[in-house]
Amino acid sequence: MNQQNIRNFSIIAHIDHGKSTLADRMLEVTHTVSGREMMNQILDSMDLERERGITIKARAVRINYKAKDGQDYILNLIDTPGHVDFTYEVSRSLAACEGALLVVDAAQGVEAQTLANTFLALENNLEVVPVINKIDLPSADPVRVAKEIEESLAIDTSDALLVSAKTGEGTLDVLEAIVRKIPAPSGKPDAPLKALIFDSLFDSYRGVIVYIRVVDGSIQKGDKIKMMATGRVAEVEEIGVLRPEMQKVDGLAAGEVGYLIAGVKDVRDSKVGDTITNAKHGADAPLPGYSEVKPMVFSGLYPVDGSQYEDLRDALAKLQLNDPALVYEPETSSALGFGFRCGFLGLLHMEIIKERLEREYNLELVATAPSVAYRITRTNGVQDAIRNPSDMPQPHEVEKMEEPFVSAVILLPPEYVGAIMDICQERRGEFKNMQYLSENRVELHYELPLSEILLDFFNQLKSRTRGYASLDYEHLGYRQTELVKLDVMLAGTPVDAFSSIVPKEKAYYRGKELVAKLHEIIPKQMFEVAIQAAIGSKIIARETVKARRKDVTAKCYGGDISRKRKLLEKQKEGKRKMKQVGRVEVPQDAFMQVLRVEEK
Amino acid sequence: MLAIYVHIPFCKQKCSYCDFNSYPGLDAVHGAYIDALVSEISAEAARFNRASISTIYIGGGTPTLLAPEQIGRVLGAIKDNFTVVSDAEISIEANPETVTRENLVALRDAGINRLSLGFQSLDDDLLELLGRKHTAVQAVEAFRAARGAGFENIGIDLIFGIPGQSLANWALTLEQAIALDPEHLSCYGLTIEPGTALERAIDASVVASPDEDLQADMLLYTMDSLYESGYEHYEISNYAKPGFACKHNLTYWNGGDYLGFGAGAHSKAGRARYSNIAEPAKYIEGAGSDTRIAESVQLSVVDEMSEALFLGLRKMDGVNLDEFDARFGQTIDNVFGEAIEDLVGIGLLVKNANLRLTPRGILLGNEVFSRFV
Repeated sequence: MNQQNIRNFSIIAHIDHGKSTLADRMLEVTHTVSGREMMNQILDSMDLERERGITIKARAVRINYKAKDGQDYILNLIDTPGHVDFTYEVSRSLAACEGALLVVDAAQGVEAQTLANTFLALENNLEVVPVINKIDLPSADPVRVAKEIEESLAIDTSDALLVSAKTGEGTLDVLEAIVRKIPAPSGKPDAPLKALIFDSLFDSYRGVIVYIRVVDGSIQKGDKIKMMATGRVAEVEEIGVLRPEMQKVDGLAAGEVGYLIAGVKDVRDSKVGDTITNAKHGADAPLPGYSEVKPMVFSGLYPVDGSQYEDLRDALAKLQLNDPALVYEPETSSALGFGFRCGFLGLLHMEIIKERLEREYNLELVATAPSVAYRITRTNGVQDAIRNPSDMPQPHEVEKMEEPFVSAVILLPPEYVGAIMDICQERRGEFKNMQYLSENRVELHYELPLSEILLDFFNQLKSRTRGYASLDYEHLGYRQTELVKLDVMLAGTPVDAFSSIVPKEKAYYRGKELVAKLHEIIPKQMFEVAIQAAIGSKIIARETVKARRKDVTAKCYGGDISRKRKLLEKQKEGKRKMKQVGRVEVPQDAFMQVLRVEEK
Repeated sequence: MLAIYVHIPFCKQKCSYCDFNSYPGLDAVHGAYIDALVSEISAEAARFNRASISTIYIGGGTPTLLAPEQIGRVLGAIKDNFTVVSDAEISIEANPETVTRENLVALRDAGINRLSLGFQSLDDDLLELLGRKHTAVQAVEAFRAARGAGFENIGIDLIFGIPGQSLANWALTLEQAIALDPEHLSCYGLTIEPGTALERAIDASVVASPDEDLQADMLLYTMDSLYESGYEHYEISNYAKPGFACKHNLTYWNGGDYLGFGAGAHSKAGRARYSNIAEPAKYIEGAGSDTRIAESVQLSVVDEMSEALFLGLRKMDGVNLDEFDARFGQTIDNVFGEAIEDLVGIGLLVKNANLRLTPRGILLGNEVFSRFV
């Protein structure tokens, strides 16, 4: 098809603002999928995604649409992951498009993440089409929301579309707007091939499936291709489009979106953002914007049952096939045994991986508290990235310490500004500026250490603002800081898995808090358990878990021995869910729990 | 020899701590229920070949909600269909507000020779918290009426560790109960069972949660106090004057066989354990046929060995090593050596000719028992 009749677009929306529902409606009215095959919200295909209401891996779908001008169009909807951890993937999905629908909830208004992703779209020179959704809600206030969009994003909303994806109202207007407002692709059909990889996934039957947007030239089945960043050469075994199921075609031309399979076994050979070109007489330069994804958050994952170590290793290897952002290396802990130090894009990414390992691979895991990578320059000039508190050198060996900072944007109603500024201050944030987007929406801008955001920051933000605040951040790089290693001892024995690296100025407070939290979490044992926090050899806080004194069922119920047995079995099972750390039984989630700090 | 348990699933009002199989407001089905019991008893008797019966225990619910003649009909059916030995222990549970001298005399005449009185407390505020329908005075009067009616084997049930109860309050209740000179005392530490009114009250912070340390102190106090008053501590929650330990309950802890009649009643015969449907209406429908059975399991040898320990160790005498060996053909150490060694090591068990709980082991019984399942 002529490029003039192709439109490639994404949908930018905050979680729950109706992206998937709107996509569903568009697929429905264009008969891309019939109502019956539509498993509510088909773009979110992983169970976990559906449960959490988020989209983790980008997908694409091709829609045939006959517009009011009488012409047939191909509309390629390229889905984007909806979380701050996946900014790079979002930017690559956007780079595959000429335009984006900006979907904003008519009651909720603009959220921080919407801002961040819209800025990404504008940076990629996308035409942004504002869509105000959920106008059927009684609390809908499209006028205010339109004003917020203008204030925060400087986007003209005079012809913003008013829709209700739920009722289907306005869906056709959206399709028309895509055709009329979003530019057609303008690649050079006869130039050497340049196709952008905006996603890839591993399928155990078919190998790696690569999602591409052809920018220049064309690609056919049988072509020899080259991934320009990795240098990997392969032959195209299959090529097709997504409707949304895979449908083979002979080739894809400039402007088109589809998938290809090229006998690649590892997603790391076909990296998101890389450019595909012809193996011979290829393009001189790749498309701009490629970068390596770097993990920002690190945590130790250990099997509760040491005999599952091999299973964990195999499971991580399998997950990595689909997720090049996941990195891991073996590590050992005196408290937890053999495990892996894993690197993630962010906290959500970490939780998703842990949950997938537990759910899909039947593993029971203990995760240690997440940490950032600190940069330590030793007195001998050697620079190290410290991802595990155990690797922290002695204070006298350290010349300089640095930690990663982020630039955070928080959107919230004005009445909560004071409370949130307090939180940011407590967390060593540096105030940058503040802007009113409308009478009931303020944009706050802070620079904060990344480590402070890992510590329950998002939950705090939500709870202090009754759920009205939203957060987005981008990485700023490293800044100098003063840190110490905080150790924990249980019943006199140091437990390395509880160690953390903390800012020096807060060490005392953190130690007290940590010990108090452990006191809540660690159940009574058969003996008294002292919980101590220490910096070096100095004890800074102590609590004692009293010994369990009574635990006996008083009565047997009229010969109901089965019930008695079940109770005892449950008790035994409960013990199995504990991790034996020295003599002390610690609940498996304690290592994460300790950092969920309730601030007064 | 067999023991028989008869369940009466009726009460006037559900007590706040109670999760037993018992229902208020079923007065209309009392008659049909007795008929169902009688038909179940005669049907089972055929299977058990008129076996000898050494103990009968009528529990509930509140069995004394029934008329003495109805109780008499059930006992009559048992005597007609089984061989009840002449010195059989025949117990009934009674709530103080449901007994009078007259109906107690009638119960004695019907063959009941042991009475288990549910005092639970002798503090009116705590009785109210527990949802009991009687006062402390009524409890004491019920005891005297029972003596007057000729009962020579009376047990009193008490609960300690009630929210708001102090050690001194418990000590007073215990002292007042001892003063009545019962043959038997059961002292149960209160457990908050799921789904009970008390649990809801605690969850809603209307009532304080029982204090584990205080319960421990109360249990230790009870053991000392009853020892000094001449009662033998023979099971975790049970104390008796010499010769008055409850034979029926000992059957459970000794792994003996028993037949349970009535809604939700449990039976054990050899390696078979089974239970009746709990809901009275459905039980009435199915009584006398196998459709009344709700659940049935066949114990393995391993199950039996594990039961021998987690039930046997409830008794203060514990488990005799030679008897275990003789019954199962292997030594106890062979099967449970590692757990026993651990538990002896941390001072919860002591092992000589018998394996038994230490005083600390009594307090932490579930820690011990759960090692054997």
